Amino acid sequence: MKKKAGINLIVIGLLASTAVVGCGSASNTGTGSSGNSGSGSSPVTLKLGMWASSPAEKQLVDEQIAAFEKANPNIKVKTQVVTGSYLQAMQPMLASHTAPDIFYVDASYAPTLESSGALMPLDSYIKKANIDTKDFAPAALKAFQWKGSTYGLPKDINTMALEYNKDLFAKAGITAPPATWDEFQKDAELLKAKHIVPLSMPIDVARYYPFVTDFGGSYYDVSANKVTFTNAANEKGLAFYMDNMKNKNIVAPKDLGGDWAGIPFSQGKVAMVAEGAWVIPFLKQSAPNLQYGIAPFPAENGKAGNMTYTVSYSMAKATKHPNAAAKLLFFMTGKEAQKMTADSGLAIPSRISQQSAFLQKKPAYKAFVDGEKEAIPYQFGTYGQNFVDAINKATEAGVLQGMAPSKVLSQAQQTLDSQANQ
Amino acid sequence: MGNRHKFFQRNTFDQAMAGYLFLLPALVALAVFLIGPIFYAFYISFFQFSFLDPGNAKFVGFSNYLHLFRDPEFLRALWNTSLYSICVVPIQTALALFLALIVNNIRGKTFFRVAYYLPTVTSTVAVSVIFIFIFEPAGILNQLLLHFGIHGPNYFNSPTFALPAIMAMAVWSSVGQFMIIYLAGLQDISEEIYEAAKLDGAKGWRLLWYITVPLLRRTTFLNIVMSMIGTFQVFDQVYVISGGTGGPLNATLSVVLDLFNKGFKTMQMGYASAMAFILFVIILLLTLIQNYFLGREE
Repeated sequence: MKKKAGINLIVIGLLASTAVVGCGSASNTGTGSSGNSGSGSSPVTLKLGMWASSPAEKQLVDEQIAAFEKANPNIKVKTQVVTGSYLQAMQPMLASHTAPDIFYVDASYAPTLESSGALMPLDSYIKKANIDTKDFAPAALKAFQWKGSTYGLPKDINTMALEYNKDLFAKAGITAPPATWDEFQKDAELLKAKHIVPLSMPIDVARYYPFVTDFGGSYYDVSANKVTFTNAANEKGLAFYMDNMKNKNIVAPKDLGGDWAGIPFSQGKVAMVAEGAWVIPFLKQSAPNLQYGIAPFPAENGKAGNMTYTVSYSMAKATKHPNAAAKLLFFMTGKEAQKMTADSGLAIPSRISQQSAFLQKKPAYKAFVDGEKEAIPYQFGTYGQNFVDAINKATEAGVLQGMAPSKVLSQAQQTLDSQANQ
Repeated sequence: MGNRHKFFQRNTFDQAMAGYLFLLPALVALAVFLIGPIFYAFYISFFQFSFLDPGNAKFVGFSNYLHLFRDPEFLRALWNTSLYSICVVPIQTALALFLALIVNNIRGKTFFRVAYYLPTVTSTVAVSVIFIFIFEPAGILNQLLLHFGIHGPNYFNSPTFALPAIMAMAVWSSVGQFMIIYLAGLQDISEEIYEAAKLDGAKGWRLLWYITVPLLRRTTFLNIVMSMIGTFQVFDQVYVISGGTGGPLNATLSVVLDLFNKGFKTMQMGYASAMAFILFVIILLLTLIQNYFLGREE
């Protein structure tokens, strides 16, 4: 009898707990009391959405926010750090209008978000606040403009440079890093003679695309938002890249046991990598004794093509406090905040006025800043992920199965056509 | 008498009501978080639907479903998943029976049961990460093979070896679950049947073949169906090992991974929902076929 009562109690307890879970309230903080929407009369709480590549990044944003709150005492800012896949976490929030008021947007999927109407066009706010958009690096700013409107301001920039292992270069008797890809091929022979892997680069359009553009090709026509894989001008650059893959001048990181090229480079398994400034904090942490130099990304065919990876602060269209959010957005992309970014050394400031001070502090970053000049934003219109998947899979098949470049390009086009617009 | 009957009636009604009242939170949660979304997914599978922009959903009728059968990526995913299922299910079931028979009469029964069951309760993501270490180009397995003078491949980056490596991992990590079910089935077979068979002169293998296996038929059916459903829904392992791409060269693209990428990466939620219902129909058909052959009572 007693035992039974005990079981009943347990059952009731369990049911009660599911009841609590089932009715978990999804109350929205920060809505505040509506009624008096006068500016500055009641304190406003804003949310800032971000990812954190490292604790240093979170710390930087926290410091920037502290400076903002000091200047704007009636606005409180909370950060919301997304772990795991950022875009995947953002989509449902944007769809259900519970997204942070301002948040990071990577250039690669910016057009997809812009065309979906989830982001707030900023032009009228920029005009009202007299923001000098000319101070932003043009390529980075252009990455967040869609059909004549601006949907975000770039917070920082990254480009590729050539990082090279000085010890391995000395071993192979190479005195200076290659300035062109032709020189690279000669150096690669010297390195291979000593059984050293010359360069590690993933089979990824985000890295090898400069080869294509250096030879006058283009995968994407910006003005028409049209994919141009099958353009014959693309074959030369792709062939150059694939030949280097074939004769093992370039080896994919996963064939060296790493997720990305920074890992084998830090282990001294490869002489060169072409990565962005994010590799510097990584190497400081994982290989503090590695002797390496940073050279400009090699040119070819007389052109020094490069890629720009940039991230903006954008505003959610569903924000309840657009004016306060705009204030925060302009502060986080403003000169004071960018100066803090420059001091942290995490990335290159996107404002030209901040770049010279940045270079004085961090002369090692010169190659990344110079790379900006002829860089193309890593962004292919609204095709986004479908575009990248199609060309990367085709290129991978081409490298592994020795297909002709023209066949790789037509296969990429076919895959894209079969995947898009469903 | 009548009064008492009435009282009894009301009492059962009250009891039932009380029962449902207790069930209510769970039922509400199921309706809101499971049944509702299933119907909604069915509804949007007839639309070109990005859930960032639900206002612009375009009704396309059966076009999502028809397009699936012309989509090389999906067909490849379906082929990979079928291959995976065809390889994993029989091996897993046979191995589970073998382990159950051994563990059923051995010293230290409890220890072995726990040891074989542990991988099942381990997170698949953790298991995948561990197996990445084993199958690395210079990983444990290749170091072992080197002792025999074999230069092992780069398993997870080779279109030939990636899927078999994941199959091996799946068998290892879920065989314990099916072993436990087999153990329960073995407990159900009464000793008397074995005694009668022994009196008739049956021994060893013949006991197994003519008594144990036929009497375990219902258990086997359950195991095969569960295993098949599990293999058709394979996702976490391939997601972790291929880094979400299904690579190399789509060799590890499973249906659920393709669905996930279409829904959350390229924002084609309507298309992804159609894929989910095709997968549901395939699993349902296979279960019905197996039920026809294995599940009937004699």
